[in-house]
This record gives sequence, structure tokens and C-alpha cells, in this order.
Amino acid sequence: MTVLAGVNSKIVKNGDPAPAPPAAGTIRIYNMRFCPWAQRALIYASVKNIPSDVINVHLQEKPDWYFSKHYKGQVPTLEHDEGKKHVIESAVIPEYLDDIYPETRILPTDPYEKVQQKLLLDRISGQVSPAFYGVVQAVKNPDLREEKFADIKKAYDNAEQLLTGDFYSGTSKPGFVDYLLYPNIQRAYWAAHIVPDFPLEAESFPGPNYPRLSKWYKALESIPEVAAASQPTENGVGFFKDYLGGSPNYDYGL
Amino acid sequence: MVLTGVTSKAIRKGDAEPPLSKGSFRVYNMRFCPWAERAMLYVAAKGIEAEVVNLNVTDKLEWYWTKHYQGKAPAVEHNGKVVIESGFIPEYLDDAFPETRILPTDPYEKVQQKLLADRLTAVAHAVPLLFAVMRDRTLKDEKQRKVFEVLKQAENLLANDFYAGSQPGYPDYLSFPFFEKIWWSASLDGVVDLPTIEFPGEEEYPKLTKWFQKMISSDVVQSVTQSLEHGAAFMNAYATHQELNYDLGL
Repeated sequence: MTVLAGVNSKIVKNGDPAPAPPAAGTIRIYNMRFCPWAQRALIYASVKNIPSDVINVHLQEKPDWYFSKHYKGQVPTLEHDEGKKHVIESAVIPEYLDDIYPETRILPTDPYEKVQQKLLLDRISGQVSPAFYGVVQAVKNPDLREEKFADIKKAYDNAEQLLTGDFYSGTSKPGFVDYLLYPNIQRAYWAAHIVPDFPLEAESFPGPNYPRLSKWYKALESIPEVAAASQPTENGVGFFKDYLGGSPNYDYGL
Repeated sequence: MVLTGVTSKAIRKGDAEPPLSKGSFRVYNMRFCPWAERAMLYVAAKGIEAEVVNLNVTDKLEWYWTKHYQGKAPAVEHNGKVVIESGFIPEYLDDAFPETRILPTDPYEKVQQKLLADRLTAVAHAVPLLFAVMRDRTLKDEKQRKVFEVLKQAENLLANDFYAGSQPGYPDYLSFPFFEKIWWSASLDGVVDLPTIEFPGEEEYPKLTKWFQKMISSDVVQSVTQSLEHGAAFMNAYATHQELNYDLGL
């Protein structure tokens, strides 16, 4: 049973009334079901077992009231302390959750080990994520394909090389880097089902060129707390098709 | 003086790694780099006794690649551990040396200061616009309009004497180097219509002007920074792809 409520609630948009503040002892996460950045916050809250209320926000028709929670109107936003506190930014929220719920801390407490995890995430995500959006561009503009496909291959070669054990945490269990990196890797998995001649393979994703990463992905995908915060493949692939066509359906599959 | 070697000659390809004795603290720096200056400011503000090694980042040292995989500044090193990236070093220093902590301990107050520093990186992104004008003066009107917008946002975000409150803190030290680069640019002819005296201008940016004067005159900033003259000259050389003199003024 998941601690996340409302992961698949219908999207709220401009004109919809502002929700009541989250109850005491509950955090709220403003999300969009297919957003990899917001999913980081969902996964972290899920793995830390924090009772969470999820509200999905329409990213093109944002409610006016939402800008009082996030000045750019983006997701994720964490709201808690009965609506009095707001924290934004997908790499910042998880660390904050570790600070306010230290009993389920995921990041190491040792300063050096902690900063190395943050640097590792920054390094891998800093390549994997732009490479993915490069592929999105290439789908729309085939002239870019050779360049963008080479970029994503290079990003995944690097991700494979930096994975020296079972997990990026350097321990026998997944950690900060693993949970925060997973959503972007999942997006490439969805892309692999749709994009022709894609260098990453859907079968045993990302394929035989990435033996450690393939095992890693399978392990992360199988964690119930991660699955509870993620969309199933059929929904993800379906959304991504529409998104590539320029008509994202934020309630896809509901 | 807690920092030694701030104005030491830059080391380059072929130079041997200087020995670092056990327990000693080192900052790898480039004198005119705003990202490295963030680390320098934080080390100085925390009162960490450190040796500064300036790097020639064009003619890169072979051994330095084992410390930073991109061969860039800054990096901090002590007890065999190296930490890189100016966005991560300051908080690491507060965690590793908590007795001189600058960030608040309260989780919410801490995260809000980190997010404020993040918003102020808009100032960092304004600096390349001025590099473009140094290369092509006809771009001045277009580019400086955006710089002015960024400064107006920064003015609006300044709610107290300092971004951290009544004393300078994390967002002040992390954003100052980029305001300084805009100040250096203002001293070059035809780049940006901002004063160098009472920068960036009391009429348009009253709070920010007071903030900048307090910051530039502080012991912390003065202990790590370079002169307006040399800074501006270096920026111009960088922008116009001239040969860089990392030891300018030494």
C-alpha cells in the first residue's frame, strides 16, 4: 500500500478552485503525471514513507493560484506545514525531505559522501537529460538525428561507466542518485518504444551495450515504492506519442 | 589573513603538483573566474586557513585531471579529499566545518536561502551577454536591456540589507562574483550604461547599490578579489578570444 494519494487524480487547471491546505502530518506534492522532475519528489516521498497528497497541475493552463506556490508555475512544488511552507526544485526537495524527516534519511550524513552523491547526480543527469530532449528535437527535425542520437549514446555510455556497482549509491541498496536519476532514464525507455532506429533498445533496456545499466534499470523498476510513484509503460508511451505530436494529454490513461 | 597565495603565479602544463601537507586545506582557483570566486569567498567568510593554487586553465596540468574530470576551477582539497563545483562546495564546507556555519541550520530557512541563490544565477547568465557586446558593440542596446531586467529582478529579490538577512550569507557570497563581473564590464567603453562609482546606480537600483558597496568593501571580498582594472582587461581578452594572461597585474 502506497503512502501517495492522488497520483492519478485528474489534472487541475485555470479556473479550478485552490485546494484546501494539506492536513497536518501530510505533505503535498504538485505534480504532472508524466513529468520526470516532479516524479523525483514523488519517488523520494514514497521511499521515505511520507504520507503525501498529490495534485496534478495542467502545465499549459496553469491555475492563477498556483503561482503563489511556485513563482514560475512549474512542478514539482512541495507544500507542507498546513500550507505555510513551499519548497521547489526537483534536486532540492529530496534533500529537504531528508532534513525534515531524518529518521528515513537516504543521503549519507558524512559531508564528503553526501556531496559526492550530489555531484554524481549532477554529472549524469546533466548529460542524460539534455540528450533526451535532444532526441525529442530530432523526432521533429530529422536533420538533427545523427547528432542527437550520438549525444544520447554518449550520455548512456557515460552513465554505464559511472555505475561501478549495483547502484550509484555505492552500496547494496539504491540511494539519492538512483531515485533521482530513474525518471529521466524511464523517459528514454518510453522513447525506445516509439522512436525509429533509436540507439537504446526497449528489449532489456537500454540494451546489450549497457549490461550494468540494464540490471540497474530492472532493479529500480521492480521496487514497489518506485512503481507507486511512476506511470506504467503503456501510459507513458501513449503520452509520449501525443507529446511528440504536439498535443500532450495530461490525463492520458485516466 | 586566512588565505595565502591569492596572487600567486598560475601553474600550468608541465608544472609538478605542489605538495599539500596533512591537515592543510587548498583551493584551486583562477583569479578572474566568478565560479571559483564563490568558493574563495566562502572559504574566506568561514575563516578556513587555506592555500590558494591558481591554475592556467588553458594550458591544463596533467595531474589536475585526477582532481576535476573537466580540469576546471574551483576545487577544494584537504585530507586527500577533493570536492568540485562552485554550486556544491559552499554547502559542503558548512557541513564539514559546522563551527563556522553560514547557512541556517533550520531546514526550511536553509532551503529558502539555497533557492534564492539559485534564482540569482540569472545574474550569472547575464555576464555572457556583455561578452557578446565586447565582441560586437552594435549589440549593446539589445543585450544591456536584458542585463537591466536581471538587475531589476535582483533588486526586487533583495528584501533586507543582504539577501541572507541583516548579515551577508550564502546567497550573497554565491551571487556577488557575477555582479562584480557586470561592474568590471561597466568600466569598459561602450559595453553597458552602468556607473562604476556607486554601481549599479542608486536611482534605478537603490537597495542593490547599497548592497554592492557593502559587499565590495568587506574584508571577505577584499581578501579574494582582483582589481577593477585587471578584471576588466581580462574579461575583454576572454570575450575577444585573445591570449589570456592568468598572471595579469602580478
